[in-house]
Amino acid sequence: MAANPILDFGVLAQPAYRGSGAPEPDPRQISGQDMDCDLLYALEPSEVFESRESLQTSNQSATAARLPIAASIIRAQIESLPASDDSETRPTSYALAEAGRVIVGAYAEMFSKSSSVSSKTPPAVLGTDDVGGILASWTSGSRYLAAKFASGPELKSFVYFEQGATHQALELSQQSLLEKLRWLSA
Amino acid sequence: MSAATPAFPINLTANELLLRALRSKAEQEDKRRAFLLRNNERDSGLSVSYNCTPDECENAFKKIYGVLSLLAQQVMALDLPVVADEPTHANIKNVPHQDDDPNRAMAIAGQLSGLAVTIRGATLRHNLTHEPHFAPRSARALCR
Repeated sequence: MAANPILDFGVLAQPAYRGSGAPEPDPRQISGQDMDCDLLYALEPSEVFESRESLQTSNQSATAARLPIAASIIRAQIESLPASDDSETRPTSYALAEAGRVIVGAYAEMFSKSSSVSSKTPPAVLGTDDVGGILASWTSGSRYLAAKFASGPELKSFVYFEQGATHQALELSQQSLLEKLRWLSA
Repeated sequence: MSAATPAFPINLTANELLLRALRSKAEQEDKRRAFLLRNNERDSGLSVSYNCTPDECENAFKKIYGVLSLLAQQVMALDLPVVADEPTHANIKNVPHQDDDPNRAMAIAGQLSGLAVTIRGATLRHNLTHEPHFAPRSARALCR
C-alpha cells in the first residue's frame, strides 16, 4: 500500500546491549539472517514479561512475543535519549513514545524470524532537534533515509528518503518506515 | 581616517568562507542535520558566521562538536542568498523549515552538507567559561 506523500518534488545509535555475557552484535553488520538471536536470553526473567507486553502493543503483526535483537538495540538507543548529554535538547514524551512505537515496530517486523528479507541495515543516528522532536537517520552508500518525529501532535512527522537527485517526504507510519528501511538495506 | 562602517544587511561576496557549528553528536555523525533550520531561525534564515576564525566560532558555544565551512559562492549557486547582518554574522536565505516543507528542507540540508568541509571536528569541546546568557552581542554574531 503506497504511503501518502506530504509533498513530492521528486525527479529524488550507540547500541545499548543488555547482555549478560553474550557477544555484542556489531550494528553495522546486522542482517536479517542473524536475527534468530532474540532478546530473551539477554534479559532477566522480569524483563521477559515486559518485553512481551511492549511487543504486543508496538507490533500486532509479530507472531512471536520476542523482540529481535536489532529491535531491542534500537529501542535502548531511543530510551537513552532523555539522559544523553550528547543532545542539545531533551526529547518530548510525545516524540519519544512515537519514535519507540514506530521505529521499534518497524525493526521488529523487519528482523522477525518470519521475514524472508536478508538485509544489511546500517546503524541509526538518533538525535533531537531544537524543540524536542526526534530525528532518526540511516545512510547506506548513496541512499539516505530519515524519520522525523515531531515534538507534538500538532506538528509534522515524516519519513524522507533520498538517492541522487530523487528525494521525497512521505507521511510517517510504521509501514512507510519499514518499506524505506527495506529499500535502504536492499 | 577610519573606514566607513558598511550598512547592513549586505550580500556577501562569493569567496567569503562561511562557518556553521556542530552542536550535537548526531550532527557530527549526520552533518545534514546541522543545516536544518532551527525554530529561532525561521525569520532570519540559516545562521552562519564569516570573517572570523574557527576558534571564535567555537567559543560562542558552551558545547560544540566541530565546525563546518563552505564558500558563499557554493551556497549562492543553490539559489540561496547569503546576507550579512553583522560584521561576522550572516544568514542563508530561502531555506524552508521542516514543518513547512520537509522535502525541500531535507534536500537543501543535504546539498549544503555535501558542500561543507569539516575544518574542526571529532573532539567534543566544552567551553567551561562560557556564559550563554551573558554573552556579548558580538558573540551572537559568531555562528548561531
